[in-house]
Amino acid sequence: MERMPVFIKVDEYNEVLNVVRLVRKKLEESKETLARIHELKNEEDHQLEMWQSTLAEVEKKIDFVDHSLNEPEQF
Amino acid sequence: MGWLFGRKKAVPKVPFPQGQAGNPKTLRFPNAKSEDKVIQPKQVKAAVGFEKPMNPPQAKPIPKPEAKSLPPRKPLPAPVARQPLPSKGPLPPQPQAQPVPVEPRVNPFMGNDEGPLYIKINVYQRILGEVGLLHKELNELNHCNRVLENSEYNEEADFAKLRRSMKQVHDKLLDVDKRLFSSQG
Repeated sequence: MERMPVFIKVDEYNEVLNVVRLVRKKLEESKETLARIHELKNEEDHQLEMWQSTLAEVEKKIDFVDHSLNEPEQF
Repeated sequence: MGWLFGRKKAVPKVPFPQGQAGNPKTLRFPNAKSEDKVIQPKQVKAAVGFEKPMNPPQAKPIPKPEAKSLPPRKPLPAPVARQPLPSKGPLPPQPQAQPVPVEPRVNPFMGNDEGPLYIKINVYQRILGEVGLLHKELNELNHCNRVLENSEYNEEADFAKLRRSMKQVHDKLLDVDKRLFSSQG
């Protein structure tokens, strides 16, 4: 006997479609939020790099002041 | 006695056909060479239309199976209670995927509001499998959110510590500056 297809009854088809549409909309919003977070993270990384370079300059100046005070004959 | 040795003349009852003089060309072989009668392959191809484009027969439309109402099946198990998502938490940066243009789908059952709708059982099983995978992936995303929240907390604590250290350094430098240059003034 030929295999006959078996079907499942879907009661709330339109409601399911609406939910899927809503989930798709939320996914788009999540993508936009993730892009914004990525942008903020890049700005944060840039600020941290500036922090690092400024700290290095401060350390150099402190070393200079320290050496100037401790060994003034060398300057 | 002549009748004894003489041949009796036979008189046919049915007269012999006289035969037709006929066309003298009737039985004559043609003067053309026999090579003219050889059918070349290209002639065969041309005769059968070998070089013409083929037009496959159009497939007959398959009649759709009539949907039969099935006996009421077992109710689905109750969905597992999902944990509430954290309020807000940054997600790790991921490579930006190219936006895939989503074509608006047309509801194939639009305008067919009356009567129940049916889908094939293999499609239904596949949908259930995809929903299960979605549930797993959402749980993984929840885990990522928790990790990120902890990471952000530690980051804030580190920034506060750094801010305190910088303030102390600034105060000390002011003190040194005051001590060094106040005596000269």
